[in-house]
Amino acid sequence: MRPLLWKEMRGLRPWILGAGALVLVVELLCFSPNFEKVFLGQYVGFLPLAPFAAAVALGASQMARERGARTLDFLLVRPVSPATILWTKFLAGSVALALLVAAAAALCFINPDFHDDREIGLLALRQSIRFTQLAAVLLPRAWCVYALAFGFSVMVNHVAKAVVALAVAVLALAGLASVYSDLFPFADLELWTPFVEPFSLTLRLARDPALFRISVFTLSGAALALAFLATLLFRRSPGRSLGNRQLLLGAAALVAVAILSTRAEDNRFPVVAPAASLELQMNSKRDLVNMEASGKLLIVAAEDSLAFLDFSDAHNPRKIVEAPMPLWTTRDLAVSGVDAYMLGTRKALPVDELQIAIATLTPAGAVHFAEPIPLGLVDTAGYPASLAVAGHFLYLDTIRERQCRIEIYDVSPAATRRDAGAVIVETLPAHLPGTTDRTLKSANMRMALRGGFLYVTTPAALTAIDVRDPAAPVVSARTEFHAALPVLWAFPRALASDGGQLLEAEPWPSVWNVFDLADPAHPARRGSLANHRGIVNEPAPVFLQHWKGGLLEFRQVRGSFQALRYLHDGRRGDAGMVAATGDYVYSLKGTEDGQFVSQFAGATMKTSQ
Amino acid sequence: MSEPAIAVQGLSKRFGKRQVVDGLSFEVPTGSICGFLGRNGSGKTTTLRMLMNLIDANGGSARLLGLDSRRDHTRLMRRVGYVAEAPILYDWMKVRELVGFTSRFYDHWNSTAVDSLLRRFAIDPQQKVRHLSRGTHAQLALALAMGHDPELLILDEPATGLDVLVRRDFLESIIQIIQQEGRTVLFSSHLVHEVERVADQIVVIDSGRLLVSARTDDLKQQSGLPLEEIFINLVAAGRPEEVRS
Repeated sequence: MRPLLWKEMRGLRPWILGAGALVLVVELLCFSPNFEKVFLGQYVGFLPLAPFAAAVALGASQMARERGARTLDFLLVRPVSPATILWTKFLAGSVALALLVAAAAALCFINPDFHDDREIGLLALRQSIRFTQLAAVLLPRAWCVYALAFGFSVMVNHVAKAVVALAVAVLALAGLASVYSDLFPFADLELWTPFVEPFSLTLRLARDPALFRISVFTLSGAALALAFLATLLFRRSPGRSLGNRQLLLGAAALVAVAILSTRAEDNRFPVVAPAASLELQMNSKRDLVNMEASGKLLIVAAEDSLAFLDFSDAHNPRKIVEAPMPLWTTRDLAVSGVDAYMLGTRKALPVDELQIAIATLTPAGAVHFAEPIPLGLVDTAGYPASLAVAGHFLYLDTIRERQCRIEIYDVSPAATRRDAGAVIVETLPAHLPGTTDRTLKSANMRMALRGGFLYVTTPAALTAIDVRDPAAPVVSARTEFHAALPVLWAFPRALASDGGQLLEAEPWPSVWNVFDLADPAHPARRGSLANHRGIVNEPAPVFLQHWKGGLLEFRQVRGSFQALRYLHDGRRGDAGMVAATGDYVYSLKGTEDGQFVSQFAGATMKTSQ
Repeated sequence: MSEPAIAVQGLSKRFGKRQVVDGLSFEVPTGSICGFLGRNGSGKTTTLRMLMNLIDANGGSARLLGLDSRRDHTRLMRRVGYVAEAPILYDWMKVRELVGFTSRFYDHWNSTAVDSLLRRFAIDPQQKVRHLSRGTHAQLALALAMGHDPELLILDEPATGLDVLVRRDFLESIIQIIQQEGRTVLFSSHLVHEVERVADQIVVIDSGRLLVSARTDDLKQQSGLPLEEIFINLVAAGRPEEVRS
């Protein structure tokens, strides 16, 4: 075995030197700030691919090169078993692969001082795990892929054949994994398939020792099993290649698997068809901003207009009215009954004004605009983010002079004074770790209203506010929150209430923190649920995810969120805005033929932002 | 009578629908130089590759030095030397490295004999293999095949591509080797006069079937013809000769 190992390591010297040279060259190129920004910013996205591409190329080339150069006969007529030849190649290849993976992982840490707050991925990775952890997570997966490629090359005698077969296999299995992963009952499948390596999964494995151990043992075992299989195949037919017909059949089977996997959703989930559908024709030419539902009434806000849609007659949904809003730009929308509240800016000189516009649908089908609530000039009014409404009171979360505030407005027709009360939830520190002033503007708070209580997430806490008397809001409880990574300090944490519990989406590790609301004034932390969607910073409704032109509806199943139903209107195109009430889900989709709004009935999950 | 160095029984090989070797049976006595004759494409290389277990046979068996060529492959390779037709060596190695690499596979390695052959063929040990000519490649491959003092040497068209002078020298080398007691050589060729000069035993095949297996002298004595004419007649007739040794 020793002479063989010597020869293999000599033969793989270009790979090993190449890995070292790559790190060195990138290190040198990083002296150029432009290259550093572009490369390091993008590299995290490619990181999972780099070791796998190397593994495929290495595994396929080792035996193919020997066959191609016809030097294999030289080894086979020596007093050494074919199995020894193969195991030696596998051992040498594995050592080279380990060095390649180390090089690929090292590129993420090549300049510890690199910082660009737009490149959250790289910063999150560096703050989450060490170099050795990253390499340890990537290696077993790459090893498994390498073993597969190695096995293929034993069966074939031409590099091109091996590459084609491997490409098909990888594509098929990657397609399979991406379809099934995260979906009940296939959640967590991605942990066991080496072919898909989402960035969030890398971090999850690195931070979960038990999961990491199981994953390492399973994938390493698979790699060794594949190598063993390769020795069996090789010994049975030394020097002979798999015929074209078998290769063709194998490739056809893999293509069939890939096609079937892309259609798997049709069989895996009950498809819910829309109860009603309407082609939406807006008079406004500006962008749509938001859509909110109130029972069977749907309100769609464009930047400068507001449309009321009626879905009470499923056979004949219609647009009741669209009201233009000149010199106005809507940012957010909240709805209560037939009233719509819009946070936005009104064009004014010398500086635009922040306002909350109030619109009501009259019984006659017209829109009546009440006196807006002024919030101040754009430059000085702070950073109001979103609206929530309950009864006659409107809640606005805003950051003003580094204070996270909830401002409450009385919007009852009889009210003589709009501003009813305010409460300071948190004071932000002067120095914001891992972020900048630009991030502060998007340091969104999130709110959820339930009963007489308002729950608010801010960078450092989850706060419960008793708003049973909106004029005198009282902070009833405060649960400290510490972001796992400094870079995620200002990431919004969406809130949702589900039955007797409050759910807080923690961006990293991607979990839903569960709070028991038996005593609504004092939410009690009860644990957390796995959330496979990665970092959550999308707006509500959080239990619906865009997926293949439709929406997947998630449910809490055995300690994690898993997809159970597929809401789809049958039209081609990507689903856009989504609104949900207790009974209905509305989806707005843009297609080649226009914009369509669909109403899906039977959704039971109550969501709120 | 001692066991033959090579005993082939009903050996067959098919590539797709084409029968390349068809129920081949012959024996090569220990200590003989056996010429394996046949036209181009008659199945000589395939047969030799089956003997060396480089490809699987579809039927039949081959015993070399009393061992099964498939089951006892590793043991057998300690005692057999093989030079392929147009042998391919690791061209990124130097000659010295290749010799060292090959020697480490064997418990016994006759460095003196290998060095002597390298000197005789005027091969520089410091030269890269890729810089050697085609003829020198073949000579180096023969030197490597001789390093472990094999009891049986199998050569597949060893003189192909060599010029006339080198070919003569090459064949003389083989003769010298065989003069050492107990050694057996099986070498294939399609050049009858070449075989006639050195072989005391011949096996002739055509279209994968045996035409004749006999001592060279017996064959010539019986027919009263030169070997080349015997070969032409056999191939033209396309049927097995009755002559057996």
